[in-house]
Amino acid sequence: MRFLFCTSFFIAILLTGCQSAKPKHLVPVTDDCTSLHIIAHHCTSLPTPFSFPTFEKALLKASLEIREHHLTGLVFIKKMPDAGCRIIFSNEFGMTYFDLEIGSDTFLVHYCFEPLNKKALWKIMETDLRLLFATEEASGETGKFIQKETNYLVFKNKQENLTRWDLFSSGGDTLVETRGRSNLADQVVITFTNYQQGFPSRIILLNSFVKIKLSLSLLSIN
Amino acid sequence: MHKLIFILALFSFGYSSAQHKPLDAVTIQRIKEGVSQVSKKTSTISSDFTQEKEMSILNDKIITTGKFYFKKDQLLRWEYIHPFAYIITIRGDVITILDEGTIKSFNTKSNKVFSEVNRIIIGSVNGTLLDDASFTADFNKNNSHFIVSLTPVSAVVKESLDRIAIYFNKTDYTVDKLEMYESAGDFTRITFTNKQINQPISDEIFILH
Repeated sequence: MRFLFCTSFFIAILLTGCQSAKPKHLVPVTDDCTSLHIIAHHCTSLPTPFSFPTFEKALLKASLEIREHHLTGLVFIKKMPDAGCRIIFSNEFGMTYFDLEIGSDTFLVHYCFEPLNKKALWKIMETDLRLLFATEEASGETGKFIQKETNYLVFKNKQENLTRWDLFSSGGDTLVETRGRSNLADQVVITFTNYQQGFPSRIILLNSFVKIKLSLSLLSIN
Repeated sequence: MHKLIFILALFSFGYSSAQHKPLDAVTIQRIKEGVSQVSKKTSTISSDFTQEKEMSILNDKIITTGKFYFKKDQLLRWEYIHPFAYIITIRGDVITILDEGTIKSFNTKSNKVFSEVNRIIIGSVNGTLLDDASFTADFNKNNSHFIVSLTPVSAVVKESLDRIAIYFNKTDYTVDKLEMYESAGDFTRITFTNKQINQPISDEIFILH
């Protein structure tokens, strides 16, 4: 059974290996706007992209669908002293599904209940969560674009293990979407909506081919 | 230093012994019969609940409150009120969730933890858990409660659940409190208050529209 599970993930990854996470209709821009003749109002200055305010801990309502598994409950996130995050997902009755720690160089699964305890799954989840928590610094090629249809500012960051695309509102003050694809895993799309006090109160992470959907609704943050 | 630790350990052992006293066979039998009789007479329960999840490593706690409804044989409704509005009903094998106006239903088999916790809660309420072969039971008491500690027999269950403590009210043998100790060190306490026993509860409240 474990072999079948791992094999099916591997085949899914092979089949989608060429699927790009790159948003469509991008026009490259430079800081001095030399190639930005299409969208003139950005030519004076390119906005500095927004980043989430810092927080110590957050509580979110969560729903995680992984193929036939449907898990609901609460996600508790606590920033750790080394700038990483501890993430605990438990069901409504308090029993823990998983407890993990993610930092720039670390990904530790402290606890995971048995049906979810699959190496292949956690490899994919690591990519997904690294995108969500932006744990990796840009380490390679970067790029700036405008998306023609939406006027979104799009930033590309090639990181050590994945390529991420962040789509900001045209004013640069709202992160709308993050897309990414690692060398190993399928593409991931994360949407951020319903902003309250600088935080998106609704986050949806979708890895459609391997059928992972994580929905988060913010309950409290401080 | 070692002496200090030994003294502290001795005091803490003395303290816990004073809090939870082991029971003799006659008292254990009396508890089982009391719980069984109350369970037979109980057709409905409604109560408020406070749920606290303590995360030992993070030194943090998540507290949720709401309303609990039970109707024989297997109807449960958990209505979370704070810090979020959220309703879960369980009818046999079917879990239905109402969240922000959206209803989702799925089978308990698609969520083994949920299924196991559901079995524990219903088993605690109707008393069947005390004789459940998948747990070994240890009986204690304090001033106000008979405390039954259940340790899972199955190695698979033990990986996530270390033990459950059920606090039966000494006066009426109903469940006042449930504590679920996870193997990783965290634990969840559910405290039931304002209990109403055998008040009419419509089947409708277990059906979410």
